[in-house]
Amino acid sequence: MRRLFTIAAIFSLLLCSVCLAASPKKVTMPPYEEFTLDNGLTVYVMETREVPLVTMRLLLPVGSVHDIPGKEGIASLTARLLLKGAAGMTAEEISATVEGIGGELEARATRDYTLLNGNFMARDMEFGLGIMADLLLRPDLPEEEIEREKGIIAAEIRRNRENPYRFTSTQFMKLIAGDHPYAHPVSGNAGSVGSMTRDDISGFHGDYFNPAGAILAIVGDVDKKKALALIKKNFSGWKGSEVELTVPKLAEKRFPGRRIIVIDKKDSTQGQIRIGNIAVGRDTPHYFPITVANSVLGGGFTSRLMREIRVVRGLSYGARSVSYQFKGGGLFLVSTYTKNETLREAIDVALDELGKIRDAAVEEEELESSKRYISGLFPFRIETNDHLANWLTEIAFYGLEKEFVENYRSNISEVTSEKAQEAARSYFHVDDCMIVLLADYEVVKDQLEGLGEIEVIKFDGIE
Amino acid sequence: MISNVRSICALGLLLAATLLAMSGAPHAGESKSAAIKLDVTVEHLDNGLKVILLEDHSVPVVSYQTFFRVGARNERPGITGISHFMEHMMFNGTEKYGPQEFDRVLEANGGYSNAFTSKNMTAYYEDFASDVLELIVDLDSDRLKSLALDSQYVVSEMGVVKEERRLSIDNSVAGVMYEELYALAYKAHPYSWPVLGWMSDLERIDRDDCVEYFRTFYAPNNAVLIVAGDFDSAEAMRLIHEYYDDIPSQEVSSDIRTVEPEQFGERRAEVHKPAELPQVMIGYHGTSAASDDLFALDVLQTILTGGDSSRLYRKLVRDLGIALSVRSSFGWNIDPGLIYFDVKMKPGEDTVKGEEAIYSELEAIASEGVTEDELERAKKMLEADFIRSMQTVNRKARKIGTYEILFGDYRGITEVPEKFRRVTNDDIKRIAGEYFNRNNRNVVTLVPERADG
Repeated sequence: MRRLFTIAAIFSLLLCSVCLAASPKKVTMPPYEEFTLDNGLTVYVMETREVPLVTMRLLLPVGSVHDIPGKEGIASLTARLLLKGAAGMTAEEISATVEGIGGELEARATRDYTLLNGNFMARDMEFGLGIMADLLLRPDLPEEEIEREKGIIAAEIRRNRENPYRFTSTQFMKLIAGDHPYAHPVSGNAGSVGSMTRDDISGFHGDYFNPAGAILAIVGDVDKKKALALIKKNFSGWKGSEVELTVPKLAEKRFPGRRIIVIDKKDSTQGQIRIGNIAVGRDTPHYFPITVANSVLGGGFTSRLMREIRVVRGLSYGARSVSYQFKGGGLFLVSTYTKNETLREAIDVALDELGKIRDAAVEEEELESSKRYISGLFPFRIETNDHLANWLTEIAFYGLEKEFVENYRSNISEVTSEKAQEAARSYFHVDDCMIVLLADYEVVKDQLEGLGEIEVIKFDGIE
Repeated sequence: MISNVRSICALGLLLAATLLAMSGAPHAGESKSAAIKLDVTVEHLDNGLKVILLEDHSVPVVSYQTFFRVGARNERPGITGISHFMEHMMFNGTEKYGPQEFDRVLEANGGYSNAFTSKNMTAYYEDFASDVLELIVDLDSDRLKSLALDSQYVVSEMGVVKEERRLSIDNSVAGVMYEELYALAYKAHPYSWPVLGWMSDLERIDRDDCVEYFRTFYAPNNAVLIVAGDFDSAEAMRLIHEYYDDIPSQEVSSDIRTVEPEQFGERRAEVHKPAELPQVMIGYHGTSAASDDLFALDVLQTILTGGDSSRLYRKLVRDLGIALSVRSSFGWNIDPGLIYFDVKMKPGEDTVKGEEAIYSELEAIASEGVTEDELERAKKMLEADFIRSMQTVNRKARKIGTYEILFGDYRGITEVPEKFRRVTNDDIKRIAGEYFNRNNRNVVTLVPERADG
């Protein structure tokens, strides 16, 4: 086993052969091997030699989008419980053993998938794969742990209300997604989490934790052959159910017209602003034009929203736009915040910028600058084992082209001003949009006149 | 260290614990004489700028970082927050590159820049593709030569900083509590005020204050430049000479006179704010970077709150089930800093129960020490964390810069593994008794009120 106690060794980096020049050169990931077990589990093994660590990332194609109605949050709770007892080990034994060798294990659900993530010293790969298989295939789901975890989640749900930025974004998602399962937070809500029983969780695990469609990526200072042998040993016996998973599509059409909702929170000295609409999922053919157009509008420090809201007017510390893309659809969202007195001004500036990027093609210089910014920073996204494992699993899960990383820069460079404008016109809406504000309504009421019809919801009335 | 940075991604950092993680302690029974050496080129320019180059050709990227020995501790009442404000103003134009040009030129060349300010230091970094090194040397040295501090931008940027304050302190219960804790614990020393500054000072700071502050502290002899990544050291050093040599040194001292007097009894404060869950922060006066207790304290911190196997997590979150989370910060500081615990209670749970649980564990450790298992596990966690923290050029450069400011010498990094390795159970017992006594305690409790009034 290689040991590493010289800083010189620590200081040499992960290998990713990257080349940069005037015209964007290809960025390549280190070579890797792909393998599919008989039960359908897709495996990637990539050797990187520079730090004595290994990342093991297992992705299951079940997320909060598959939560059972009335049991919202069950995917998340099931994932969290993996760490709370498996194959006869107690939660305390699991954490003490893993942390006792400097390892890290996390299990969590997202909207589209569940992740079991291990980060270990490379010498501990065998242990790591063993315990990951135990957690995934043989969870004990102890009653006591279920009750404890439910209590913690209920408290977390309340804690999240203390963060106005996060709370407003959560509410936006809830309002825009309507009755689609993307609407509810991944962790669920107090009522649904409280109602879950061991049978629910065990049933969910039995039905949906299947090897078919699951992806395991091992990246680090490990031997490929040894890794493959250990994967077979630990995961070949994994039998799944026949239950099929589908992801319902988020409304195909955007929300029509304009809807304005104010979440009334007393004592706020700053108002939160969200403007957006339904947009596209990760399978969009317009991924690169959207990426470039979004960068121009609300990406880096020189984006239009940053410039107009922050730099020129000093209205906010942050202003940005994001195209959230999931398996079953997505949304486009502008986020900023400002003191009560300037709430309307910030809204108007944001709407104005949304209009401009739709109405006029981006000038060549601004477009080129944005493209070079995106391309130039791309190598920083493949620096670590975690980055690389993430790319491998994302490419497989979302069905992206195998050469996604390698072709990233040339795809960005091919985005023209016309394509960027077309993306903006298709997905960055200004006449049709939902505006969600969190503010002290009495204080900001007068400013909002003329913006449109306003619905007011009391902060304390929302879960 | 507690940092306030230029961009939105800073939110999570406000309460993040410090450099918890530095160690190279070997496996029990394995090599004990692990030598550590840093393969860097170091040069002091005639104007006093210290330059540290770490060549690494694995990836054609470079991280370029400048650390200044100035932070909130160098401020005084009336201009609190000016260190952090100066950090913002460094992006608002020079004589050569006008307002907005720094970011425009940088981004158009595939680079990204950000910065952070803490109570102890102010640091700037650019991450970029290695083929534009000269441009970055120009952009960054230019800020030292001819920062504009344009009045119009002083006004608009102050608006930005006030929004940052409203976001991360005034409209955040944890932010208000944290501010209250330091104001409670420090009666004399400048660690008392927030890095973001008091709102009334932000209302008054003007261009003249900025000019004076910049002149006082932004001197080459008050800075360390660290470049890590893909470049040729000789060529980089040539460029650095070319662009920095004509910047004059200045008389500058970052030393401060005031020493926080001894505390003679527990201090308590309440915060009444709209909130959902009770919360309590408990702070003890700790030590400075000059003390070797730092390392035993880091091991103890890991034992107390590092991971799900830690003592306080097990006791408060699992066994008693009264808390949602328990975190701690044993941050490293130039002057004696604050060691604090932050407990978020479950709905309806009394913070007193959280306090009692923590005090009883601290007392138990002071009298009985910890188990060998706990000690070994903590050292293993610190070892792995250290290696994880060395995976990117940005973090390597940051580590070197941080050591320069806190210890006056990056070579301190090489001694860290041995210092962790040497921590014994007796050390843990001793420091638990020494630092965690009641007369040295500051407690802030949150009393939640409803938002609808």
